[in-house]
Amino acid sequence: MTGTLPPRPPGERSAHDFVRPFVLTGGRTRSNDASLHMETMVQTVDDALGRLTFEHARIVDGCWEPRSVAEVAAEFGMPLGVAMVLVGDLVEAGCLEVTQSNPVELELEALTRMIERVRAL
Amino acid sequence: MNRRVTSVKLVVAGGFGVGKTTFVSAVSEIPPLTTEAAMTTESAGVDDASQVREKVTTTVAMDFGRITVDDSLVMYIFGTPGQERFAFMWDDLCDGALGAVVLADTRRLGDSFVALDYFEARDTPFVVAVNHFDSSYHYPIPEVRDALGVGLHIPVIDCDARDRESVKYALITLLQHVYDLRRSALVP
Repeated sequence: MTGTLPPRPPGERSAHDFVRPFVLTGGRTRSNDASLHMETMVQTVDDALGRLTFEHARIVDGCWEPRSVAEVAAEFGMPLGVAMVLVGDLVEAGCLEVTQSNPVELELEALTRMIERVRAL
Repeated sequence: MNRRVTSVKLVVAGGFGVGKTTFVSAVSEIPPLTTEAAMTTESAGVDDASQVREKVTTTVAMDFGRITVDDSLVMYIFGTPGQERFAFMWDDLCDGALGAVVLADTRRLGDSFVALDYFEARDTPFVVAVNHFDSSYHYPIPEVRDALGVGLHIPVIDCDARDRESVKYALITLLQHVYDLRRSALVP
């Protein structure tokens, strides 16, 4: 008798398809980079090389345009905490670059631009 | 060399079902994205999963939208998870936020107190937007302000979260409020 599993209806997911969040992050719940926020913008650097895990590689490939950590989480269907950890790894490894400047130092002129933009929506 | 793109974060807070996602949808240039924050140990005692063997995680969904200002500045609008017991997430959510809109429903004003207290304690600039539902009585703004115990220095406005112009007005009110606070901080 062969040990084949009964065919699963298409589209149905079993518990085995689900990768636990802590597996992706190696058990970490916080990013090494404490300066990362969910809205922090990151972008792939031109020479992002190295041996990357599947999840890391997906993120690097998805960030050629600047995007926030929250967008990375939403796009790749991973919990925000996982995205924070993985993006932190990639920033540390030099594959992603933080393009963010400190919002507290935002100038009044930037606020004026924001007001004008919302008005024009 | 990558171009420098900075983002700012605005937060929409308020009780469960007060219209936060509708508010975000009304102005976001993308359909609101949802990200999940997996249940952490903070809620372990509350979300008792021990009686439900299949229930391995509880997730908190956060909706957010995006408005691109120009090629160097992006605004994100995050809705807070509505349930009060997810308030532990608010620190991550509100850390670094430029300001907040507290959405209030006059039928359940009490639901707004958590958000009001939170932003006041953290010195996060905020405005109150009273979201009107078809079935709710339209109270004059001064009465709502009194009921909420909000000082005159904080803008309180009417809002219809389904209406783009109304949501735009709420955002502009918040941004103008932040502008005024920052300018007055510069001028001694």
